[in-house]
Amino acid sequence: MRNSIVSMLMCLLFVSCGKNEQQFQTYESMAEELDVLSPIDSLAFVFQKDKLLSSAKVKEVGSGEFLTIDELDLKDKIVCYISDIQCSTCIDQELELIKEFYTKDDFVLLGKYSSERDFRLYLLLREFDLPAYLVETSPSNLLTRFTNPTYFKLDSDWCPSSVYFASISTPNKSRQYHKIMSSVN
Amino acid sequence: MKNFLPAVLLAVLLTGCYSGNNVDERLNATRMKDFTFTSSPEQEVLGSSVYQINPSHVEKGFVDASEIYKNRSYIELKTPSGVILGDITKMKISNGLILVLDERISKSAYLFDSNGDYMFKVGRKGGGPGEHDDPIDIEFKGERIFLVDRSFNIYEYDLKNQFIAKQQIPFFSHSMYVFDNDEMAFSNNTTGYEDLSYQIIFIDGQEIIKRHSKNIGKAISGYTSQPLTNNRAIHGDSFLFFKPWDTKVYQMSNNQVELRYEIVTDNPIPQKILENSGMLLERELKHTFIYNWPILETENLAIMRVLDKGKITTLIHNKEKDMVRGYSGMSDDLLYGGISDFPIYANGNDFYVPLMVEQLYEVKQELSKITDKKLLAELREARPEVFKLMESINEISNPILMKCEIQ
Repeated sequence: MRNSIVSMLMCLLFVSCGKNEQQFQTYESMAEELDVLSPIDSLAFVFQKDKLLSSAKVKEVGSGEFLTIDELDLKDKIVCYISDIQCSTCIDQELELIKEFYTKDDFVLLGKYSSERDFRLYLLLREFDLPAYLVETSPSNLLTRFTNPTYFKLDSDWCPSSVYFASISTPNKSRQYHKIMSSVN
Repeated sequence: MKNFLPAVLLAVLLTGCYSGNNVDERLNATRMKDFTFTSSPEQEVLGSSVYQINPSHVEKGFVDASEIYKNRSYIELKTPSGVILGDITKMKISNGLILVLDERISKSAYLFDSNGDYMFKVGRKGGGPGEHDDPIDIEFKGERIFLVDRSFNIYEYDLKNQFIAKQQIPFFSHSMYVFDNDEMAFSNNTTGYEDLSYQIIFIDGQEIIKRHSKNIGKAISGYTSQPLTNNRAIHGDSFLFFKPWDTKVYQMSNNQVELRYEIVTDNPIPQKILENSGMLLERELKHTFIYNWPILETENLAIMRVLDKGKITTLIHNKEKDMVRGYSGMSDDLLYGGISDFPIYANGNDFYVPLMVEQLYEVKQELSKITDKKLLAELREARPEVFKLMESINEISNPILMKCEIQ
């Protein structure tokens, strides 16, 4: 299944970038036949099939306590994953929106940062006081490669749902997502 | 691996599909509407005093920090409550005052006096008059402070933190230099747009007056920040620069370009590989080129980094002794790992190295567990500097600057 998603993405890549008309038509036809999703949706689709590792370790910012992810009580909570390889302007935008839409009861921030001090300072300087955890061992290989802040909920099988990739160029889409998700909770 | 592919493909999709024709088209499209463009011939490169370095002829093993960094002193940056610096990515000194940029965490520039006492945070972030976006470079000339922000603007402030002027630029730049006659030079290299090559662009007011290395070849980018570096005592009103993936260091004033250093190698990156932006790893692991660190020069020394077939090598040219030494790794025999292995700035004959305070804090925690007083006394005697620095360090302390000479 994952291979087919890769193929679909490859088709989209050619559709978007190809300058050769014949090639364009070929891949466009293939894309139509495969009923492909948008690239972002495809990525979300792949991620939703990615079962998260419940034993992954995190460190609570503030207390410094080590926990596993299954100890965090993520049921019905919105999880946001950020990291130091992501667009930091996107992260700045999202931290402000998170503060606006969520409370400590319905939200968890996971941060993968090579420096614990950087992560703590980043949150401190932005007056972010919702639950935040430094990721010590990653719950998903795919997750660590996302270059935009990534939101999701976890179902009972530890698979992500309601996946959303935030970008600085689409603040209104982010706001819409948070509006929906915070009202669901 | 299967999971990785969609991410890579998405990244390629988002960054690799620009289909514009050339840099002039992009410049002219929207941002250039307020600018005039003066076509100028490529400047002749003078090469009379070029110094050649062959990394394969340089001994380069591991060195001790104490062997390289001499006459050390430390500048602790002291800030009022609520003002914390993440790290120092760039710094400039003018008349003894220290301007630093924290590009990643607090995303602000700060001015300190020579003792590290806080003066102010430069300007204010926002969208109002005189307010700037996240700064990505700083410049400090006499009493004039300049910020380049990520929204393509230059802001000037004075030493009272008063906003003086704002100037728009029609392209993205990570590094700037301001000449004495107010002309500005920018390093411009936009990752992801395969038709843009590295160039130095000169702006005078609303006019683009000159471009160096303009739009030749394609896909030579891949790094976004080739810093323009200046040590006024050495370079006067000019700066050092290098092109990405290249082997030459140039010194450029507003009317002259001089080739200063050349890395001699039998495996520079072939043009064919330069033109293929998908072969970044091939370039890094199999070829030799100047790596993406600032080129720093004092009266007696020049220091630069090359990536030599995948190995980062620091080269130090001692001009007085006419010799080159190198190192490919540094063991910190001074601060238990708190020292970076390359300075970020040179001023006069001094180099400046930001210390890793997080590491120093960890050392502090480890040392606090030692109860054997004799052992502690021995450690204190062996590494007096780390014990002195640790006194004021906590887990979110400001970065500390080490000022030193290099041998």
